[in-house]
Amino acid sequence: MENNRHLRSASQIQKDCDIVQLYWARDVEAISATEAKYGHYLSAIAQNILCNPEDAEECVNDTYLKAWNSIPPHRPAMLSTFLGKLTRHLAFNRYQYNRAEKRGGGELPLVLDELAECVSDRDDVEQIIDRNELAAAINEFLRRLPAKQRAMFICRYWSSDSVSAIAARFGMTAGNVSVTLNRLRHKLRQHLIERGFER
Amino acid sequence: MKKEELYEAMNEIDETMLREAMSFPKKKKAARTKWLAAAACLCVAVVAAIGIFLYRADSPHHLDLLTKFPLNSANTTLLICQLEIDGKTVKYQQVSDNAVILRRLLGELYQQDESCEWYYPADMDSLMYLIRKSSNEDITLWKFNSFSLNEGTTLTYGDLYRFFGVDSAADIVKITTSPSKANNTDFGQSIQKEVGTRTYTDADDIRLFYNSTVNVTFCSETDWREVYDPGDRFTYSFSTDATDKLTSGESTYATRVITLTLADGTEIDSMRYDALGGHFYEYGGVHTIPLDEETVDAMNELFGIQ
Repeated sequence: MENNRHLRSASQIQKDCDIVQLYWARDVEAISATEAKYGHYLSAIAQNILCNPEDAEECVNDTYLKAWNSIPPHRPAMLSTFLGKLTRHLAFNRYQYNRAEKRGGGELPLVLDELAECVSDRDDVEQIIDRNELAAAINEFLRRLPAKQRAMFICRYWSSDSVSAIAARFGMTAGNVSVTLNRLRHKLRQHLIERGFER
Repeated sequence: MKKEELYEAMNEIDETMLREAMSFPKKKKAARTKWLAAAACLCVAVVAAIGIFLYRADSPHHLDLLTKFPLNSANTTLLICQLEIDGKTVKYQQVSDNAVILRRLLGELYQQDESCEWYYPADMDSLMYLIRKSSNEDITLWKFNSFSLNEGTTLTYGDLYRFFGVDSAADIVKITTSPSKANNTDFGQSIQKEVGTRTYTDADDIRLFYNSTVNVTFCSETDWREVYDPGDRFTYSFSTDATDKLTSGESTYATRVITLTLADGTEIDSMRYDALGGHFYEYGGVHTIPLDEETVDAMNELFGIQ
């Protein structure tokens, strides 16, 4: 496999396509470049969920490993969201492990409590949830939202950003953010009911 | 479904939407100032009567501003413009031309054409108010008036609700009713006081109102005279034989001005209910088709009309 030495050093690389090419070239500078560009972003996702710096760092490091093992064959068009999803998934698994061990905290318990309003929150053995269909339904719901509301929803329920952080980011009061998110949760619940995921 | 399942499924949110959300422009929250004396003084020379405005810490500043700064007193003409939104022709009326204030309230760009740009007010994404900025920097505030109901157009209150993001009764947090102020004589005011203003926050009441109105159809601008019957379909304890219903007080007893408050603070305040004719109508004069007797009974019971 070619060794693309003509590429610039990791600290200067900005484009995702260049970083992805490093992965494909099995050049370990891919990890350094990823960390330089997305380290803070991934740490923020993990920290929001776990509220523990050591656990968060471990999840981010696991993300780099998973990225190395999955690129190739993947060639992500948007590296930020590809990596973000990995971190979110890893961090949530860690959260569930910590909860079983009665450790941890962070914003995630609040986020989950809010999401509980959208679902019955029961283990319904008669209803096997098709995860792909559920994901499609969620995407359909989000596409119908105005851009700002969609962004707020994603910041809260994907990134687990705090209400105050969302308020600061969108130039709103925390109260307005809470009200808006509450309305969106009601809409999501109705959407899930209409599509048969809830009764 | 468990909440954890929903949370995990969100990991499959479309990457384009994720990226858009992550790069959504960050805004500085508008500085909260308690007094706008300087801006008010500037406007006094232009507008006949401007009050000193006080921000309330517990309410969005722009909603207060919208109701405080009226049109330039030299221009009392009701200006209406039409916008094409989601396949509907929507009428907006100008409610303020106070550019000094409005310039500070510009929010997200909603739509634009060659002659002007339309913005949401800051911190709002409801279509109740839009700010128009023309190519010559003239800035005006417009409020939703009504849908343009041309021949062949069929619209319902459900369309109106969805226009403001109301998909179910759960999106309405409060209903407020008050009597008509058409008769403002001492006699009329005494009846207004008797009828009083009522607030409904009970979910069942709100659901009843929503379900009773969501499918009610507006009359078009050409056919409303065919369905509108100026005679009374229903009689009540306060009904009289007088031809002048205003002075008899019937209208005040029988009419309700309705304001729906949504979760984001938006108020839909154009709805009116007429128990005598058994129909709803809009502030702008648009009528709806007559309601069936069961719905009229339900609304009368809700509003205390007997």
